[in-house]
Amino acid sequence: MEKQEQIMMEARKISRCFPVAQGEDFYALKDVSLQIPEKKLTILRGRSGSGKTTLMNILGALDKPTDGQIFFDGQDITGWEEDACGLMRRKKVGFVFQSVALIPMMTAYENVEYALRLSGYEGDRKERVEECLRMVGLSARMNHMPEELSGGEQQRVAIARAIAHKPRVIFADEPTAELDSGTGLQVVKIFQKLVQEEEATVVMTTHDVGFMEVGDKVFELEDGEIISER
Amino acid sequence: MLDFVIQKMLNRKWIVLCLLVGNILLVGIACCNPMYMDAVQQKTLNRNMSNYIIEKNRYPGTISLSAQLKINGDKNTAEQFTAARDAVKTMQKELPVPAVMEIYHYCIPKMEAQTDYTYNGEQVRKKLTVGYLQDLKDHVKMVSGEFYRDEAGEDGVIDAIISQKGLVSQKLLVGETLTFMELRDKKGDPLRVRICGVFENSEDEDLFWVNSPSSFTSEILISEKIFNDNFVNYEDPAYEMRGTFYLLLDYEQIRGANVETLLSRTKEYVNEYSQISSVTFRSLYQNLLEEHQTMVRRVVSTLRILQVPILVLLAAFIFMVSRQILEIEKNDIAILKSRGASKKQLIISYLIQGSILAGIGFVLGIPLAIFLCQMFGSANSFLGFVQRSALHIRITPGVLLYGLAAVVLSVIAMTMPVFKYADLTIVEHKQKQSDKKKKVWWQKYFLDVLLLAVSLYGLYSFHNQQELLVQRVTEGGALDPLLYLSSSLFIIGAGLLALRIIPLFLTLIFKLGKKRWNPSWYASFLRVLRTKNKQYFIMVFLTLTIALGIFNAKSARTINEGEEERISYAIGADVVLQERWSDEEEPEEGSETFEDEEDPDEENQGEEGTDGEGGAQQEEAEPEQISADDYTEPDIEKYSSIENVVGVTKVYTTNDATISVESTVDAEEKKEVPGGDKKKQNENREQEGWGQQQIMSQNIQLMGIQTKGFGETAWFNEELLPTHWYYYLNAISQNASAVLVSSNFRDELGYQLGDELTYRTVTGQSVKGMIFGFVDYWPTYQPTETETADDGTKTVKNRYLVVANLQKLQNVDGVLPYQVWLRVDGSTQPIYDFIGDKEIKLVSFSDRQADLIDMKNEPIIQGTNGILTVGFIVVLLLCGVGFLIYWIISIQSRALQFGIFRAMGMTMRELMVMLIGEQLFITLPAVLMGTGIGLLASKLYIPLIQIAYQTAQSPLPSQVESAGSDIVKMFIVVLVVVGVCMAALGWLISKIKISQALKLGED
Repeated sequence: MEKQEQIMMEARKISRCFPVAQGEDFYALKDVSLQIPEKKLTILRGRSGSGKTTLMNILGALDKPTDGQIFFDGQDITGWEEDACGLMRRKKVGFVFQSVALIPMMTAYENVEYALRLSGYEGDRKERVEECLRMVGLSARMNHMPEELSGGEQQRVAIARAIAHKPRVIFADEPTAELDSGTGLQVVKIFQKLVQEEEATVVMTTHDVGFMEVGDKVFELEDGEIISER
Repeated sequence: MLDFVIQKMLNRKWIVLCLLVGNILLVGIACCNPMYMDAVQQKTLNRNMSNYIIEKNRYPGTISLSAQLKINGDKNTAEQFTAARDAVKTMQKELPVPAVMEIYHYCIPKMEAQTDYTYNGEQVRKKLTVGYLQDLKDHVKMVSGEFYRDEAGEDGVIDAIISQKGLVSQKLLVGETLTFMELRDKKGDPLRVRICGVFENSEDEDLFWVNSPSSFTSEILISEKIFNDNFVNYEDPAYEMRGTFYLLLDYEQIRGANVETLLSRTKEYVNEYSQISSVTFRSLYQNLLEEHQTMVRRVVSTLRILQVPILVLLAAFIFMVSRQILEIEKNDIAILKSRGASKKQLIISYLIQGSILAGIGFVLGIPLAIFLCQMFGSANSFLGFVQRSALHIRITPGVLLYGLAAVVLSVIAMTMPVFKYADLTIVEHKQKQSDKKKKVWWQKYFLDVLLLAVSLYGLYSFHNQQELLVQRVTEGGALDPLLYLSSSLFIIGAGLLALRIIPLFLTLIFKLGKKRWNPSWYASFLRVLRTKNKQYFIMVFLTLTIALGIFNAKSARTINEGEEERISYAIGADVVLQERWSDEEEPEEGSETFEDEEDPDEENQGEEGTDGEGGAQQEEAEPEQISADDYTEPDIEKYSSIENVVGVTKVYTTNDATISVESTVDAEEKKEVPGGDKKKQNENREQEGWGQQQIMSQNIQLMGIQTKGFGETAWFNEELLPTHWYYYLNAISQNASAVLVSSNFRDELGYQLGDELTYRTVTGQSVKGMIFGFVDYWPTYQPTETETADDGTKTVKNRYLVVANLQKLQNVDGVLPYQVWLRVDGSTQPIYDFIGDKEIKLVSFSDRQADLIDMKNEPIIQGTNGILTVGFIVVLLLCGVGFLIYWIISIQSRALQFGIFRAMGMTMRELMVMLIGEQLFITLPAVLMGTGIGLLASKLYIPLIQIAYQTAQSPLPSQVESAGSDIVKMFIVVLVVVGVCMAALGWLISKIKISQALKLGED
């Protein structure tokens, strides 16, 4: 069963070190290797400082490893230029950040539509935007500015934006961290729905042990190393 | 607290640096006005004074008190003189300027002296003044004979010396003895005097000779002791005697600071002594200083008015930058508040920050002011400088006062916004963030509309009282500053109004292509449209910079060219000169006396003028009949051989020709008369009335020209007449009696084209002329003339001009002295050399180039060019700094946003395009609006500004110059500033790391 599973991404022995004062290096990731399965909800769990966000940024080509290799959809993207990564991201990747990261001068609708503009979405943009906002339950408030929305609503807009252009992978960094548990659960439910209905691959980080059950695959990180895999 | 503030400032070093730049500029600009005025005052004072020495050959610091003793006076002679002498001593103490010399001159004027010899059987008698000058010995050199002794000789004869000129004009000999029958020595015998020597001044430049030795044409000088023993120390004055006490003040010590005191004291003396008939007080400098004070007041008020917009802009800049800083720091403030910092503590911390900045600004601003002053001093046009002798710049208390005022203003501007923020707690701060849609205050209260209304009202009232204003300025008065400020108000008001319009315009463009904009442009549009309040700061500055720049450039150009044109028009050609045509003796230099006392023909001590010009004899007594026989025509051809001279022409011009004009007659009859019988007219003129009509002789300016040469030589702006002025020249060249006349012949006297006009030349000949054209303007012609009556009332008089063919006039009058007009290509120096070499004697000489340079050196023109240029550079600098601040803050505060864009897959290039788009949408409309506003403001308000520069009433129409090249220069500078800013920003953005930016968002 596990063998038949398609691999979306793979990290091979990656390390990420940040130079700290006094010449000492701080390793956020140490020799991490893992595989992210396609069309599954993968959870990276760990306490804050465990390296999970760094790992996710590297997987999503937002950051580069100091050592090791990254494969995305079968391609080695380790040495890619920043702009090439950008072009890949706009087509194949969607991001949801821990702190709400909507573009402040755009309405909910425009935020979602902007992702479609960027990815060069071929179809009817209006229809797709409305569909995505409906999916996250925000059709009624789509012409509001981000600042007029609550935290949970903003997070759901961010999700709608992340999925709008039908990316291969959606990365969600602590999407529930700033939400109350009810809203958090709602958000996670959306991800589950995405995996099932849109056949998306979702990678989500969380420090919350409660969400471990919902993941198809769970990696547990501590001090830059994977300590368990399930 | 101090540590905390300094740490905070270091953390924000870039923006704090910008604020510091603003502060330095503010102090610099504020200080350079008083500094410049002080320097210029000193320079012009010294220059005027030394020019006075050159022109009048007199020491301008001179005051004199002259006491006149009458025979029937009842006071002791010595006492009277001592009193006058003491009065001068008191003056010396009271006046704020030290004296370099005191000179006493006593004399008994015009006594009859008998010589020892006879002529035609009669004893030869002469009228001689007997006097003495204190300390004479130190200042003379004996040309022949020897200096007088202090004792009478054994034969009772007294020694006396005489000037060379006196010796010659009195036909005396050294050793000759004279007997004054009316003067008695102590023994009661007639005074006998022997001419023992002839003197001249021992040094060329000796202040002692207030009246030069050559002015002692009829005075013999004797020993002080003998004079006093015999004439002064008597109970009763036996002779009419005069004692004159001169005090020579060191004019180089007359400064801006003591001019006021010096003048007011001097005026007190004038008043005091005008009530005592026997004492006359005079000062040479009073007029000079009064003129100077008028000039200073004008320059000060004009420069201040030009400076105000810059200062206002600077203060606004500091205020806005402070607000920007607070905008970044409001999180910190809110946190500090929530941790228990009181409002007072917060305000104090910002007060300290402001004081540190303003303090540094003060220290660095003053050297900047010195630099700016030097720049003012070398300003020659807008953004144009020349090498000139450096100004002597001093840091006066006034300068420091201005600097301190600027510092206080700046501290207030920096601390004021804190009051608003200091009240916020973290909760309110978050709430505040969400009401961004609120209108900015100036739009809410329609400040823009208000400012525009006020400025347009100023314009309106200006148009209504234009003539009054012109008159007031030519009289030396200052203008209502509000009227001037209206141009600044207009620019600011229109600039703010533009900010309402620009977003509407952008929205329209955005909506037009909403579907098609690529992601970068789309984001740019939304950014500019949805966060417009944040961009007002930079947009206002850009708009105002451009508008002010254009306005300044055009003002400077208009003022400079207007003045140039006025001067050129008044002179008529590059060089206009007139040679001395007759051999009549020219007044010898230095023969003028300080007072008219030596003048043998007049007894005018009581009514001596106060103008200090004493015995100027140049006023030619107008001979009844001028005749060409009195003159010999010099060779004029020689001038065309001079290097650089490309045109020479003869121009005969006089203001003494006349026409007959009837008053109280209607136009139809009027023109009959000039053609009428000449004799009859003359008779009628003598009579009081002739029926209802009165015929008066009206002076006209008559000009005789050689049409071809005139056209090639004279300086004339062809736009002044409806067709090219050559047409007018051609018109009269064909017909000998054709004349061009000024338009007032038509408008006031009813003449028409083709009418015959009869005028009388200076020789009294009647000449008929046919009117071939009317001209409003003609080289040198001033249509009106303002006459000031003794009581100060002014009347504007029309002046009439007749331009005829020179040949025609010469046929009638013979060849009368004419001017030579030269056109010069290049330097006029060869002409000076030529005249010097050939020793050509000139009656008049005007050099257009030299006058233009003088004009550019006038403090008001120089200061204006300086302040307009410096003002523009400062505004540009501010704009550049403001631009950088805006973008640095904008980019720093949007790091997270850029992270999102990058995470969403935007490439670096697209991000840059987005930023360039933002730049474009902010800069372009602002630049366009600024250009429009600048052009409009120039059109409306420059004529108003120009009034301040009218030193003399200029007949020329005012015309706003285009200044195209200056504007191009300005745009290049703006472009460079924007370019530099963009480069700096690109570098800044490339340093942003996405992953770090996103991390930032997590905090």
